[in-house]
Amino acid sequence: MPTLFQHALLLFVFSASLGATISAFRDEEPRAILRGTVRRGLLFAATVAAFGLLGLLLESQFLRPDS
Amino acid sequence: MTGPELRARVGTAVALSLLLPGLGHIWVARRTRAGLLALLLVEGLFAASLAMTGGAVLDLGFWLHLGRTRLLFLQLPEFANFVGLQCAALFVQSVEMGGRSPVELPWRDLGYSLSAFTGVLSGAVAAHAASSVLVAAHGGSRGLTTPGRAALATFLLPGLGHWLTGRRFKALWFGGWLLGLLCLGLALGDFADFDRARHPYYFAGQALGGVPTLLAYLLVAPRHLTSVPVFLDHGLLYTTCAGLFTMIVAIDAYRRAESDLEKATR
Repeated sequence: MPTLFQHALLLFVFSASLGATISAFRDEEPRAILRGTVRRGLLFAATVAAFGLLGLLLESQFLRPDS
Repeated sequence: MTGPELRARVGTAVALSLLLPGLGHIWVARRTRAGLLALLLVEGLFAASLAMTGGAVLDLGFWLHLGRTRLLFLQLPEFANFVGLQCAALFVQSVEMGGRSPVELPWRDLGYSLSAFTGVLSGAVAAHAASSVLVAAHGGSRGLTTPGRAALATFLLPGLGHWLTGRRFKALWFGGWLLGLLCLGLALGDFADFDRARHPYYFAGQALGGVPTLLAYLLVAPRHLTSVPVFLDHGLLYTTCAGLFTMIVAIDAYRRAESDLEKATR
């Protein structure tokens, strides 16, 4: 079972590659591509992490048999 | 020719090409030799893949029924070679139906990957047909890389299409990220990510990576799982997305080359 740190690292790498591809698809200039990669990568990673956190909260508060 | 007329001709060329590779070149772009070459290449490779797998590659798809009537045979990415796939599904019988296991066939892995590659190639031929119509409408390529060639080059190596159109930074950027993602995904999956019989749906996305995926498949295909690697799911996600992203890069290469052509015409 991967640790939380390993999950976070894999999410970070995947978000960066997604951001890099989409930014280079939308822009032509290297500076705009680099800026867009950071912005889109962080936005995607934060969104996925937020969904993960929401899932953890729901699981701990409502979905456990003893809750 | 007006814009809407040109778009309609491009759409017809793409639709005909997806029906039968090369038909768009012959019917719309009036490039008979290129069309026949594309047809022979795609269908020849598809027939070879059927022979190598003893027809077992078709066991990875399924029939769509309406009541008891067979409507369509669905299999990705071979569906882009519509007529070839439907004919094969109707007339080719898998070795498994004859009581043999496809595992006995020595060229089975090459056949599985080659069959998927023909689907991707068929999509690239459709892009080339659309490009041929555009180039003819603009009165020639004016020495520029045509959109179809840029898209085809991307499936050969991610970023090569951008390199040919003079976009060196984007070529290295795309090539580095996509090949890096593919290699990292392979390492995470303990080099057992490419197993079409086990993961046919993932492979539909992985195959879009084009020639690098085909080569990687041939290199690692004999390596089958003895236990499930811890990061197999992550590896499958990475390699599948590397394929899907290659499709995005090919679309970008196509439209940038198209934009160059329009600027040169004005």
